[in-house]
Amino acid sequence: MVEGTTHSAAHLHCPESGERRCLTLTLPGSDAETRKVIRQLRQMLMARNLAEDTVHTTELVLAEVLNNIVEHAYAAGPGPIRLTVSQHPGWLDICVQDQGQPLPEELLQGSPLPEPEHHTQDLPEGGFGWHLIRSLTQDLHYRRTAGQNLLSFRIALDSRRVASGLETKPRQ
Amino acid sequence: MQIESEQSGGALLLRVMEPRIDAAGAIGFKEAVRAATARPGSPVILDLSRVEFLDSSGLGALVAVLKLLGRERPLELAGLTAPVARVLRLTRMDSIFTLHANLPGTPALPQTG
Repeated sequence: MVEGTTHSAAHLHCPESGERRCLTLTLPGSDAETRKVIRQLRQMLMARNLAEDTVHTTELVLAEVLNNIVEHAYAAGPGPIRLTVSQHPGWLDICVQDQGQPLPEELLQGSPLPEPEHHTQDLPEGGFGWHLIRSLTQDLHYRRTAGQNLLSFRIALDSRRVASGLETKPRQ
Repeated sequence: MQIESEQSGGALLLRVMEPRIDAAGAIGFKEAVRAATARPGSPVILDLSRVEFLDSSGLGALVAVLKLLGRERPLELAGLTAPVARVLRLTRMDSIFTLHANLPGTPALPQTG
């Protein structure tokens, strides 16, 4: 994808032939497999000398995205997930594809977080995942096409650009 | 999931011995805490100093434990690592839990709970 392209179809940062990639993998959707892949990814990002904040952001967002696919898109049974991470100057483009149930699009828009003064027994035990994804990514886009879910987003490499939740000192 | 427990003063200190509380470990975490809190002690203080990764499923498990223990037995969190503190802050759950900057007291020899 060309940075700066405004055509809506270009908003999905999914790989095209010839694009520089640092990782493409296909995994069977399960919690245990997700954990394994996330740990591998963490090691790979660390090896690229990315800031610890960036590595944690990527690890957390991908854990949320993959868990969501396993629990919802593939609720009826496991299926393949294709994950592509490409590194650019200043950001990572990440694209996740699956062949499961469509994503309810309201999840991308977001619902409010529980208010802290709520009674403890009323607190939700779920629903935090999409909030984390939205908080920690830029350029989040979803498309359903040909029976596939495509979700793409960017993660800034400069930790100072990461929204709230920023760790205090960016490491070089 | 392995959790060590220790009574410290009136409190029950639970030490999470695993580096991750995530989707794959959330149910095991809840079960281990439920078993460990069969011992008396209040508040229940969770030592999270060995936990380097918490996702929304792990956070949901923490909330579930908070609710399970009820109002009479507050759940407090201690020893938060930077990634865990960040997830609590981003979800504003840092205002729900009582957080301890440091671990309470000097831990005695660990006991398996």
